[in-house]
Amino acid sequence: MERMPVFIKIDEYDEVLKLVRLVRKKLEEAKATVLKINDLKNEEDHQLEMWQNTLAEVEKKIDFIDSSLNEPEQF
Amino acid sequence: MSAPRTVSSTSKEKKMDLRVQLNEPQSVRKDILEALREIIIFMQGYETFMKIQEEKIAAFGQLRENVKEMHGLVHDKLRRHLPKGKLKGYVPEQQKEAAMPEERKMEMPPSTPSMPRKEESRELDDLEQQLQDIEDRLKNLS
Repeated sequence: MERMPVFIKIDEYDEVLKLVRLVRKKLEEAKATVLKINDLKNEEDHQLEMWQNTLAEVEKKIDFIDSSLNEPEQF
Repeated sequence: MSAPRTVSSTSKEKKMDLRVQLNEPQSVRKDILEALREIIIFMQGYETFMKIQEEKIAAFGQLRENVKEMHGLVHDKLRRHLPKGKLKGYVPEQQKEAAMPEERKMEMPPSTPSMPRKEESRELDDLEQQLQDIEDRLKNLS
């Protein structure tokens, strides 16, 4: 009684196969969307890295300007 | 070579006439311009970033739709075509639900379109309930 075979009517079986195909299609779509999100995340990371570099550059320049104005050489 | 340039910070109100010698005036000017350029590039990057954010939100929405559709296909359609198997542990749950007192059911507030938060939390509750059912069934299988 534990392992009884299960039978499914053929017409419904076709329907089940159709559904599985549909689920598979949706799965592929979801996978593509996740890949797209990952790409966007990488773009975001790249942009953030660029911002960090830009800010570091600006800081260097401001430091130089600041030191030029605040620490002039004595005559 | 020209003599070092001086920068005056005088104003009508100020009595002191301060002059600061710039040893590398061209470098200072260059740095100011470059800093300005970097800031403009930064602001352009901000626009790009916002565009990426919008695309990401749209992609998350798309993913949610995909997963919802998959859930609908598996939960509502596919499962109906397959035998339910042993209902041990599942039937009493349904019976329990049916035997719930009427008063308790009345406590639930009616859903309105102006309450998206409540709908969202109900959706989460439904998912939690489904998850619990599946866990119970899996336990029964093993």
